[in-house]
Amino acid sequence: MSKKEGALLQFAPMQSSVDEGFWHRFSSLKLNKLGIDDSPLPIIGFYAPCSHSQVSNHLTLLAESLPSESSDSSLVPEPSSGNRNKCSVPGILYNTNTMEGFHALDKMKLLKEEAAKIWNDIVTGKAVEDCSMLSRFLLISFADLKKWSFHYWFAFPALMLDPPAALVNLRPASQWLSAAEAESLSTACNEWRNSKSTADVPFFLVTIDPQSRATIRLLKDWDACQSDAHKILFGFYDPCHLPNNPGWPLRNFLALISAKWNLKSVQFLCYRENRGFADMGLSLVGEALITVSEGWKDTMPNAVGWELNKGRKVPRCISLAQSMDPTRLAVSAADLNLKLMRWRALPSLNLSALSSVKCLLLGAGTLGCQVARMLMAWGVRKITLVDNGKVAMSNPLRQSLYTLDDCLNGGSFKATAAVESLKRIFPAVEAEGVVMAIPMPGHPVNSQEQESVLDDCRRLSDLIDAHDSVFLLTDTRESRWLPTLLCANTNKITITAALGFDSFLVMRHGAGPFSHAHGFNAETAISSSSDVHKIKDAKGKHRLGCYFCNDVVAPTDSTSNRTLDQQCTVTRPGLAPIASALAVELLVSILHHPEGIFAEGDISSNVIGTSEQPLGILPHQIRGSLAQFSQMTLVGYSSSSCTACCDTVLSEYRNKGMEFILQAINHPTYLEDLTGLTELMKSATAFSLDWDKDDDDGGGDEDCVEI
Amino acid sequence: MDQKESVRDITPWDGTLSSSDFFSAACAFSEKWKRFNASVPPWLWVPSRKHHLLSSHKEEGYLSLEGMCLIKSSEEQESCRSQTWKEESSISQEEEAVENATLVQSSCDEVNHYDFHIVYSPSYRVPVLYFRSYHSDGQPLPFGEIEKDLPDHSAKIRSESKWTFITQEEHPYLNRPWYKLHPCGTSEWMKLLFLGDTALNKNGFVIEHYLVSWFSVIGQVVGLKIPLGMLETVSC
Repeated sequence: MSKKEGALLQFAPMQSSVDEGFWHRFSSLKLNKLGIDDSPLPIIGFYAPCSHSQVSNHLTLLAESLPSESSDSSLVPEPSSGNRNKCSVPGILYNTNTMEGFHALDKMKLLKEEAAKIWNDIVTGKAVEDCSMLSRFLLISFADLKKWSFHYWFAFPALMLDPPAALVNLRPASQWLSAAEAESLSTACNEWRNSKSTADVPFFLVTIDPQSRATIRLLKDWDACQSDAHKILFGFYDPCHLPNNPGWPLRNFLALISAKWNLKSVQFLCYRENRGFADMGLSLVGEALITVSEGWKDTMPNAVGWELNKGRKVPRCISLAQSMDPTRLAVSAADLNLKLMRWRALPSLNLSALSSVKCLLLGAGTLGCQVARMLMAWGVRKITLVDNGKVAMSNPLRQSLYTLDDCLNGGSFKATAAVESLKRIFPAVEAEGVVMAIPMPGHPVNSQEQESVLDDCRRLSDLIDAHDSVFLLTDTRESRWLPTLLCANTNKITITAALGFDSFLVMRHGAGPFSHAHGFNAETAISSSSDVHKIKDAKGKHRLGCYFCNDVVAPTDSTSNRTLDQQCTVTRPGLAPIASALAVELLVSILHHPEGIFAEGDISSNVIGTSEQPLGILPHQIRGSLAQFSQMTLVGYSSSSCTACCDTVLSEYRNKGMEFILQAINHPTYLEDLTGLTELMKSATAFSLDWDKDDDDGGGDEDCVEI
Repeated sequence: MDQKESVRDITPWDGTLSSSDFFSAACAFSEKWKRFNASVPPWLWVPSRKHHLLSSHKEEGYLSLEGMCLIKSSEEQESCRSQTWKEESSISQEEEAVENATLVQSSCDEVNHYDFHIVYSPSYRVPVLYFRSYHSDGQPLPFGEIEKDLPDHSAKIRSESKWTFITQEEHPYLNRPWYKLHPCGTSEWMKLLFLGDTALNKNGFVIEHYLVSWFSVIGQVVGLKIPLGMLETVSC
């Protein structure tokens, strides 16, 4: 017998593939059943013979690799059988509860333990009975369920032959077999693979008789195969596609063959398929030489098998935050909704403008809560709410962000409770609450309070500067004055909503008399004697009016305007949602109008389709009545004597700053003297009833004005 | 169901089909696919059960084509996937037995795996194509990566047609986010596809060819070709 020699037999490593579903189910198992229990968990891996000439198959973990979650089942996964694409192999999972624990695992010890199981199965013969034991594997992991990332590392224990096996030759099966033999073997293999009882048996014996008939047998039929006339091949499902190397399962197969049957020369068949059928061109036949010493099988051999990660001996990591983090899922669902609107109905929808606009809501009551919700529905993410009140027992009914819990223990601050509520609805909102009162004219402050009131003024000014759009949603007229002035001064988009008992007003303020872009300065404005300049904005167009301009310019009688705010806490419940919704739609329309705050005021007409803008007309004022179930759009221009936005007042503010504000607050006649009006004084000193008896916390409350 | 069939004979068809018709159409489609498209994996019917109040359908499920491999050459590989691991969790050379029997491959081609499901939508009453992509180790691909795999004309179709766009939504059976081609316009263009066909009013015809016609449009968006042989109408 000539002594054959060969090159070192090199095996292609087994590669792992973990389906997303495995991690989903594991997370669920961990959260609901396992808790911090980190005892080893039996799992099932699946592989199949290679079926693509260029892509190897992997040892795959799926959701069903894990035991089910039902409480009455033991922590053992249900084995599948008979599935030709899923040959089950047993595995074990060590999951740690911390990253440190993961790093601290004794990897060599764990590998040795699993290799010992394989060796034991070989020695006792169990592996011959159930050959899938030969491909037993190990998985260590750390599931970070806060970040939804999974660190893991596979080991495919392979018993080492010492010295290693040599490869005499290796070539496609179609070249080693005769044509008749190849055909017979293909047929036999296809039958084997199609039969439920053998489809998932990954190691087998092939005998080819002198008449070229191939038969496939289970490993335990080894004795029956003994016949000199027959050729014997040791076949196994080879996941590897490489033409010059057999796959990993052959390693433990050779260890079994040597230990059990003492063979020195082994003809093996790397069984591979193409499109579901046996392919003798892809399948390989080779001869291996085993030269282990006599005593090799008396002690457990060494083992290798930790999977490399891009050539390095380090673990792998997979991040599934995109598909598992509920907040991210909520965000993408919300975005989808808006995108659908854009794709299907409104191609000019400017989603980035909506998501980047910063909205300031002054008032977190019936109007404020609804406006905040509507803004979020439009994709607005940056919302600040200002309110100094606390949630009262009657509030949750009409103020849609609060529940009974917010009323307990004296009531939470509205601004704070509103923000928490918004975050519960949509975690990705960037909401802030400011507990602050808005200083009001005609409500004098004594010297002790002066500094804090000035602080509030400055704070309000800073808040307005920091936002793009301001909603005036308070329930007194006076509280709207200072914000209106500050917004007119900085040309911020300002939207007012005011409620009567059964009527409402929603309007957008016109641009201020000055425009920063044109570098208009106070002196120039004052020195101009032309009336035209006072009511025109920097673009030379008639400025639309603000909430306070109406007092003089609107042709309605001023008494109905005055009573608007005084009765606002007693309104028909339907009004606030309607007005809030219109206020938000108005903002969206402004943001989509090419001229923005400078846009002229449209009036709705009966002729449909007259508007050039995709969102429709952009009104200045909307006044509605529930008594009539009617609504109308109006346009009002700015007044040169407006106490809040005329250039006289604004220039005075620019010149004297906080001093001016203080004077307006402390001296009711100051503004009227400045502008020549008496109306404001009458309104400011009128008695306003506070209907909310529940939050009786004294002065500084926005809900009432004291004489 | 009988009443519906007769109605369809009389009234103009709205481009949709019923759940049981979907099952029939699915069977016809996968049969033809196997016959004409043998070089590609087959479409398999996956029976599934949702917790329905009215689930009496034995044939509830979806069509599945899994394991399409797209091999990316090494130049296209993204380096952003590599993790920088400190050596604290590695195995030193001394620890693991030194051995040479393991083949070390210098460079590996990256493979993108694609799974496609055709799922019936009860609210739109049309089939919907769901798909996902992942690397060999299981890491899902973000949409930006998938877009690079889509054929060039796909982006054109998606931007021009207001009926074809890709969204990410929860798979109705697997409860995980998959990508899908939104079905809101499907019934409209299905109507157009069958327009002018003299055999239109015959129910069996519509059902038998529904998925084939549907797929001839949808497939283009994801780069799945349908052989011409499948499109020829079978006169029987």
